[in-house]
Amino acid sequence: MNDFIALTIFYAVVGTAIALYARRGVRTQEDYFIGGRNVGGIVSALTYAATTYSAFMMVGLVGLSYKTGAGALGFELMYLVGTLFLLSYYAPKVWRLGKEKGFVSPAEIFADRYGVATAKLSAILALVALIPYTSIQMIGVALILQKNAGISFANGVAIASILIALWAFLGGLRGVAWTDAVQGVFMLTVAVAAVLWTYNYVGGFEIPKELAVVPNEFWTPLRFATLTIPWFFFALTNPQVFQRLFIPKDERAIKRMVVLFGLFGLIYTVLVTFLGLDLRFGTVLGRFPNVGDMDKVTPTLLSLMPPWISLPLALSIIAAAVTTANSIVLTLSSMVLRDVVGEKKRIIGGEIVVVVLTLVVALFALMRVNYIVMLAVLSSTILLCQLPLILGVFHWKRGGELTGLATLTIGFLTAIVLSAMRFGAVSIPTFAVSFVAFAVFSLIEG
Amino acid sequence: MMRKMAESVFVVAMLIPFATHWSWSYFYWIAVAATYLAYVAMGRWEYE
Repeated sequence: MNDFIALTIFYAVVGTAIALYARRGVRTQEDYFIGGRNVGGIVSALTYAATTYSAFMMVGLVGLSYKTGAGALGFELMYLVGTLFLLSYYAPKVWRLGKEKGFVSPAEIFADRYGVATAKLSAILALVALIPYTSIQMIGVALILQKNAGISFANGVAIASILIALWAFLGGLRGVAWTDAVQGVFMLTVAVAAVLWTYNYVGGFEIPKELAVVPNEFWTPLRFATLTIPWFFFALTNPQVFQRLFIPKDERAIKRMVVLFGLFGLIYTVLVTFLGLDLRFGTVLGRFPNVGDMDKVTPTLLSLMPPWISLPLALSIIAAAVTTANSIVLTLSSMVLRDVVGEKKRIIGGEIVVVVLTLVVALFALMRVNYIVMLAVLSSTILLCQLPLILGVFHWKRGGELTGLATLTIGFLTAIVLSAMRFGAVSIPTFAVSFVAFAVFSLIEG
Repeated sequence: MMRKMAESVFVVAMLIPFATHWSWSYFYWIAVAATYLAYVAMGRWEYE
């Protein structure tokens, strides 16, 4: 047995033990899907962070920083500032509303204000947006297992499916949150070690001049805006993080969740972008190969590292993918069960939907066709159509079911049609059209 | 709400490097994000 397989088995056993322990006391859907609204601030922060920061960070953002420079940090920190800006205002309001009205699924906030049909449609759009996105995480896990453990891609998908479904199936939100917390600490620790190793390997840190300045060839103001808008509002539009606003045990825990998430995000983002920029400096010095494809930067780094650091780093990428994927699967399960099927009592339904959704994600991962990638990239843009409805709950009294259905339909179609037409900046018109649709229909509906 | 609007200065501040072409934008962005995080952590929340 090679070292990576042994490490992965150890990881699976520890996670499963935690999830089994978390299963105690799970009696209602509220317990299963949102931890009985009784999760402490630190665990809430770590599960929020581990859910948000996927394998994109250690693979995509390292490559993006290497290739395009400091603008990658600006983009990712703009997301962080936007999230802090929104959560410090909306998180307590959403939590209070959720507790008062007993919301469990994130779409129930729509059912209460815009009718059950709007919540159903919102759940379906979340499935369309997030299943391909989750399948990309699964593909990432399978590829790492294929490279480091020497197993076939199909078997890698099977193992990834088990890793993703098992802890959510066994322990529900508490299982996911506790394993997220452990993995979040692991991801951060390994990122620190990887930065120290790389700094030592390269022999210093300097940002090459052409990469230090924005705008540059890649980071034009239009591209920055296009990429930033969906991420800026991610905390309100993406159901897997929005649902986490229901889980803290009290308002003090909400503040702790938001602040500690911000601290995690700031440190992790700086570490990851530092890694990409330092590797680029290494290329300038001739100590790191010139990598043309930005997705190959991290694999190249892993191939140069000794096993004591490359194996934990590869495992931390798996952890980042699993923590994101199982949180999405659990949230989607709550939406399918409560908003689409209408079952609000039995837990067994949630467990079944977790398994079924993971199988659907695995099927998408095995297909690996082009539109999966397109939809995965589009996921946050597709979900932007929910933003006016969420803001409307707190700031706009007009509008009901017609407004809800029209806003979601028109916003979703705008994103899909423009993307199919290969329009360059899809998020900006999707954002604008969704708000116009919301305003027009809410004024008509009254 | 008024306080929230005033806080949007941090969001605008994140865009400044696009106008100034600073070679130290990397460190500037970290400083702005860290300052805003400290502001959120130390600021009074509704329930307090």
